[in-house]
Amino acid sequence: MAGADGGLVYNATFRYKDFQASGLLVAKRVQPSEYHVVLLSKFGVSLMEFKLNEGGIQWIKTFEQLGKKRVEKMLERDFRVLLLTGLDNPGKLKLQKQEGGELTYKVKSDPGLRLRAEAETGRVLYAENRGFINPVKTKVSFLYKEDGDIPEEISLKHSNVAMRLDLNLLKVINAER
Amino acid sequence: MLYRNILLLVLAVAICSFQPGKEEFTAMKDVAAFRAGLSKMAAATKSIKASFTQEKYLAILANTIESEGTIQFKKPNLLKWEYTTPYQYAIILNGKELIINDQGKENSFDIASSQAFKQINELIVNSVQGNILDEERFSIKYLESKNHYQAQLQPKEEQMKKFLKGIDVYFDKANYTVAKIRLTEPEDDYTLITFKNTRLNESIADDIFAAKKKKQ
Repeated sequence: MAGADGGLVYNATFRYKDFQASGLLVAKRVQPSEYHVVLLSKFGVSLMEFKLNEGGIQWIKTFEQLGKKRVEKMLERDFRVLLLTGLDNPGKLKLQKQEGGELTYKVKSDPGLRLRAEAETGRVLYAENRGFINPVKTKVSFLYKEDGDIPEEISLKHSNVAMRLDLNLLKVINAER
Repeated sequence: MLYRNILLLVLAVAICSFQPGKEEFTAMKDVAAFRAGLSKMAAATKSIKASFTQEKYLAILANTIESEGTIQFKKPNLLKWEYTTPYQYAIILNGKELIINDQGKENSFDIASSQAFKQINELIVNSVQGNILDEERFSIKYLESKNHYQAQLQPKEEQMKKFLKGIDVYFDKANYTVAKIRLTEPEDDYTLITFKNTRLNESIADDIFAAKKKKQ
């Protein structure tokens, strides 16, 4: 994801039906294909922390429930779509269509992605995972300020699940360390 | 259980936060006198108002993550801990409920319904009143500098140790109010909360500690 080399800090709001909880999500690219992700409470305490690379999720801190294989797989997929890891090393990027100033691509990666991007700027507006049997698809929308290439707002939803994650950009850290 | 401990941790931090400077600390000479002074201050305090800044240090980031807000406490057990910048988020304790106001959306929990919430309530109220040093869940080391007393709290429970290495609480020597709190996590990332403009015994209306729906 653009701007993640120094680190991005988002206000993260999780909603499931009537329940709402929020925290801070920190994401930093530490290697060309490796991200460090931390979820903090508003009080600053880190609740969840992991590295995401080609080998999957490597937990640094987690809840017992998140360590379950099925949940971990879903979390990994969500973050791969959210962070657009398929673009870090796109095996095959194939243009599917061009329409109204937008380009739609198919990305052969794990998971496979379908992307919609602005033709003029190349900014990704929407991403979802592809798959033959895909009942709970991860769908992510990206919203930018006029000139920026770092998403100001990100919205992650799933098909068939009343759960969503909304991210609002709080801070961009320069890549100094 | 895990959720309870995370909440306890979060709330302990929330209550005790202050910032350490470059002061030199040595072992406290008279712990009994310090604790007596703290108890005297707590007994004379009916309410506390303060603003705070919070800095989160993460080893992976070159800069800290900052936030600001206010705290209001009124005896015997009313507390509002509110973030105002860069987000709106508040936690309220009123003896009966734990209320979280997250950007206008409120969730409230009945304290009596859960042992965890009872413990959270006790921990927070004890912290604000300076009684956290009586907490048996921590071992405590006492230090002092020219301007501050410092209590270094280390958790005894294994579950809490997974999330918390220690809490350093700094008290102003002039008046025994909490000046800053540093919460250190096992990986040495830390949160530093520095209190400023602390006012004691100012009037605070009870209704700020109620859920929004009950005020209407």
